[in-house]
Amino acid sequence: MAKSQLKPMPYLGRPEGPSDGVPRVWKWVILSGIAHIVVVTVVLIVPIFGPNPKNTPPPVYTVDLMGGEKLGGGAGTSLKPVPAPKPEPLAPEEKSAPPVQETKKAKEPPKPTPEEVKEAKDKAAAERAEMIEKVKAKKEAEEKRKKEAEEKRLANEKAEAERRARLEELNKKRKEAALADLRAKLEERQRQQALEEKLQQQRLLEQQRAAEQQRAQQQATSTVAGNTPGAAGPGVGGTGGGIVKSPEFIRYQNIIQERVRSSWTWVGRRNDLKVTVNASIQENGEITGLKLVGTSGDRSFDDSVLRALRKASPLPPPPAEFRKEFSNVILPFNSEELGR
Amino acid sequence: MTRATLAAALLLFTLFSARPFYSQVTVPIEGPGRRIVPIAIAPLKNLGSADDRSGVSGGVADAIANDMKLSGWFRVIDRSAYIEGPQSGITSDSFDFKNWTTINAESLVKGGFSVQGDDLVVELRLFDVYQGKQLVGKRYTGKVRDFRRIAHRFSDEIINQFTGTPGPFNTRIAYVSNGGGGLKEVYFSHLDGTDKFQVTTNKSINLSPAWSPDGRMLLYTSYGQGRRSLYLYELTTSRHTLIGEQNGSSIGGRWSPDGQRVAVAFERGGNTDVYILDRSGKTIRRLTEDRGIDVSPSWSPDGNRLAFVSNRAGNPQIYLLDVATGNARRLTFSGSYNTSPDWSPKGDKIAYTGRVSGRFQIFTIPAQGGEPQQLTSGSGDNEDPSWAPDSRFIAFSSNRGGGRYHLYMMRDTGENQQRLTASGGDDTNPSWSPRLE
Repeated sequence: MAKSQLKPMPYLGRPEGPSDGVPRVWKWVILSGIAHIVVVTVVLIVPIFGPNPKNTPPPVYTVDLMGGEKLGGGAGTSLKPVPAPKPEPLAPEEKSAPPVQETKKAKEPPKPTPEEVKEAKDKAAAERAEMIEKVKAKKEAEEKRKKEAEEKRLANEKAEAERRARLEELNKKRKEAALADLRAKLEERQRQQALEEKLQQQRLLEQQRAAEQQRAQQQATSTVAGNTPGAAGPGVGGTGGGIVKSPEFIRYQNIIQERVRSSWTWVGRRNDLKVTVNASIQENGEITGLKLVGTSGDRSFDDSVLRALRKASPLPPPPAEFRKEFSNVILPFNSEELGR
Repeated sequence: MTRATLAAALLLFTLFSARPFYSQVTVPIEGPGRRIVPIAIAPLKNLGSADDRSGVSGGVADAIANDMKLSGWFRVIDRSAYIEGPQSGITSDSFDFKNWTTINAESLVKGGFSVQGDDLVVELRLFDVYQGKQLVGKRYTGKVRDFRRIAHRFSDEIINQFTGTPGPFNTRIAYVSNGGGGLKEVYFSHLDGTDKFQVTTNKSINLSPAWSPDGRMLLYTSYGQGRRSLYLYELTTSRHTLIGEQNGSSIGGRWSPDGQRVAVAFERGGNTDVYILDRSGKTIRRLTEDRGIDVSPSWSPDGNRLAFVSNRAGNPQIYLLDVATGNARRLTFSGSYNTSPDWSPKGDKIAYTGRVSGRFQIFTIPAQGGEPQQLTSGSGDNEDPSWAPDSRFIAFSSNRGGGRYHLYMMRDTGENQQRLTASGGDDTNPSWSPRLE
């Protein structure tokens, strides 16, 4: 076996190989898995935190107004290209830079060192586990709630059926007792029928009420977040996504919408401009990591939406249970004002 | 096998991690909440050693502030509210943006200057206060007396930054003023009325100034010798030249967009028609031949058509004429008195004066025909519209408020009507120049 050990990867194609090779195979599989995670992390994070060429300040131009000679303005007048935007407390781009470096490092190596792998793995795993657990917990909680409601409804129905059965039995006994009198019996039957009808109606009514209650409950507690604006009201609801959101979630979305819109000044007159900004809302409500997705084609418009977000920051802190969700917000800006 | 389980778990994990862990939150923002930019304009810092005897520091800031106000897109934050002193820095790394967010400025103009004899260097910078960055910076070199022109140039830059199109302030407006008496002379000034210059001094009646496309010449009509004649004035040489035919009376006169021809109304033998002259004033063609009065030609921006006024249908209405064929069609059908057409530089609209309930008002109408839009109203007369080179503003004269006529400007929607001149006489017949160099 010494011969085969000299080869770099002798076992990859032969999982049925010698037993001392098996751990290596799994080691490679694990390494490969980790590499996947790292690459995927890079793919997910890089577009969010990438540098924003739109924000690079324009150079300063020299204009000779009258064609005259330039005059010595002293050192004070020298116009050097202005440095990158001053880091403002509101939302410095610089803050988002480290993840890029970190992930870039992880992108290159085909064979990460065990420490790096472990670190990346632990971190990613911890985050993922947290997320999965949260999602799971949320789903489970909702399913449980639904199940309980369903069980309650079934129990009610069962009780109702039993009550009806008892009544029927009682009626039957009465019927048997009144066998002698045909007319009485017929009357009794009619009465029984009426009662049955009444009961049936009652049962239907109750079922309806239960269904309505359930629906109302669902509407109140389970509006689903997604990628499209809600159809009703001024709020932002949506479809898809699959994660159940509470009214608090919707309320916070509305806060973002109101704050950003009222901070947004634009005086251009085109009503067909659109641009999307990705942003992150921190635990303290700060809006960071602003990134234009493409351009509207009008720099004054693009600038105005970035300015609006800086001005709107900080927002009130997002609800604690939705911090993750609001750490990655998509804001499509549209120059057209509804109803204008 | 625990290892296999672990590997399988990892594989699943990897697959799972390829999808986002949570759905992204989308918050659409429909339409800007505000349409007026709060702007602060700091007095300029003297960067040189010479004293500021001409008042450049405040003068430039005031001129920009006035332009911003006239545009209607800005609210200028009062200087008394500024936290920063005049000696703070003028580059983005040398002052604190918080001093400006605190007073709710969204944008900020800062600048410096130095004077040496008659010469002036001005640098101006526009900052986005909330993004903490410079939007544009310019250095201008000129004469001290031109400091307002420098200011207007930068005003246009500011408007460019916020609307995507430069503003209309680095221009001039030519007009007729009677100085309170019966004589009318041609003047021009900046839009804000400053740096006023008198073009004619013949103590007669001079009317209808019109700028050449390069902004270096003016046409005007003068009653100098008992009849109306067309004159050309060159700003660079201050020379006045009589042009056009002399066996009749010329009225008005407008340069074609390429600057090669002049359209003018010419009266001969009791019939007034539209003619086209070459640059030297020689008649190239007579364009209208009907018996009515045809006056006030205004070129389309492509130079292929003319809007003009004709009473051929009984009362004055606006017509459009194809220069190549001479074919005319009527454009205005509402109202019984429509005059003074001015074709927008963009080409889509024609502004004119129409009479409503005995008062003159400014209207626009689509050049392809359609419903007119009334831009002015009220008890005064509003007359003689002239488009700004950016087609977003219109200048006109009005005697609103009673008394004298003054020049005004407004958005082409009729919004933000602002008075420009305040002379003791009547200011009429505005002509908005093209953008200056």
